Amino acid sequence: MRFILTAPRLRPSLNVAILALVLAGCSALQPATPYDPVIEKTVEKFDKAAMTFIADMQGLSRTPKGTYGENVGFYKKWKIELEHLKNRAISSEVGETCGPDDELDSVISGGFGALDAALKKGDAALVRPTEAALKPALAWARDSLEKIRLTAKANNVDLTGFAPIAERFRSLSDRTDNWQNAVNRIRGAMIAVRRQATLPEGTSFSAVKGGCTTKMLTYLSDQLSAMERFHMAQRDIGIPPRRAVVILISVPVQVILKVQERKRILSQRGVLPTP
Amino acid sequence: MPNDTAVTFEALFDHVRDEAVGAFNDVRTGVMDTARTVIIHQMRQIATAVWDIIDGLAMGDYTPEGAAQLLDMARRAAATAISGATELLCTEVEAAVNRIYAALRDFLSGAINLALDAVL
Repeated sequence: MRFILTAPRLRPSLNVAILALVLAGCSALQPATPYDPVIEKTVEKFDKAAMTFIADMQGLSRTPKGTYGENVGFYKKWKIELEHLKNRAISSEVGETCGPDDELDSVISGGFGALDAALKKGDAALVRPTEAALKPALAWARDSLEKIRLTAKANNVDLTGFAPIAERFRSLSDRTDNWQNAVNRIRGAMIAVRRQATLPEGTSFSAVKGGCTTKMLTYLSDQLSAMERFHMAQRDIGIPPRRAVVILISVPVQVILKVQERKRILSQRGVLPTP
Repeated sequence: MPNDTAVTFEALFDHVRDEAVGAFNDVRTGVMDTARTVIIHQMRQIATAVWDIIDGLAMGDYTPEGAAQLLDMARRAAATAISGATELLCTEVEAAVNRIYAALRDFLSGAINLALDAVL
């Protein structure tokens, strides 16, 4: 189809002007907050400081120097910095929402509902072999060994050569007890987590309102507060040399830096507003 | 840019098409990149953390209260990943729209000048 704007003579300018006005209206489309170098730099600094702090704490785990009480300074300093960053994001936020909150809630609760169901299944699977099968089997083995010992004694049979078998039985018995203890620990903790009984009012996760950048920085700030509560709750264990804390601090940091990096590149290309 | 006052649909379409296709490809690449780096990678990391929490409880490295706080952190990390993915997708779409808009604006500013020349 050939669409020629030639006659009458005023039509080209009129049509073009209308189209230009419509497009001018489109320029108001700006769902994302512009690239902010301060956010990028501060979060990079926080990442370095947090990783150093966690590594130091892991080295001091189960020592008095690794307890929360000895290391309050780190949390105090960075809570102020991240709170400031959050306020900065709120003041420059363009959007008022970051996708439907209901959707976020359903993804999060759905994911954790699935986790809860998996843990219940795992819990049931762990309990069955230990309580239903292993304990009677161990009781049977214990009785059998006792009968053998008594029979051997009655018949003056030397059981010295059978000592390794008894040792292996004791080892198996100990391991089963350890396994049962571990299962009980997990079960007890999961019950506590499900009921949220160990999390004081207002300290557990709740979705925040606002644009995406505000949300991400609020979650990062809240994540540091949760890490502080974790450190406190660990008592004399402190932060053990395990992966969870590093990962759970790194995830929001990586996400924020990824977003800022992409915005920086697109700003440099001239397709996003420059700071 | 056409050299006469006739502003054809084809001329407009041809001029904007290349920008639109390029912008669309950028959006597509950006969406794939977002899916790969943010959603898949971060969710895998969170799953690793949850597994570590359960294992740490069994080993006595985490207290039940500490583990509850870590699971709470896992929830928040997942929420951050979703917000980040949303922000990245909005950013890619915004960049594509801005690119197409810029192409149209450049073309039309030239066309308006030509049209005004013709009228005046």
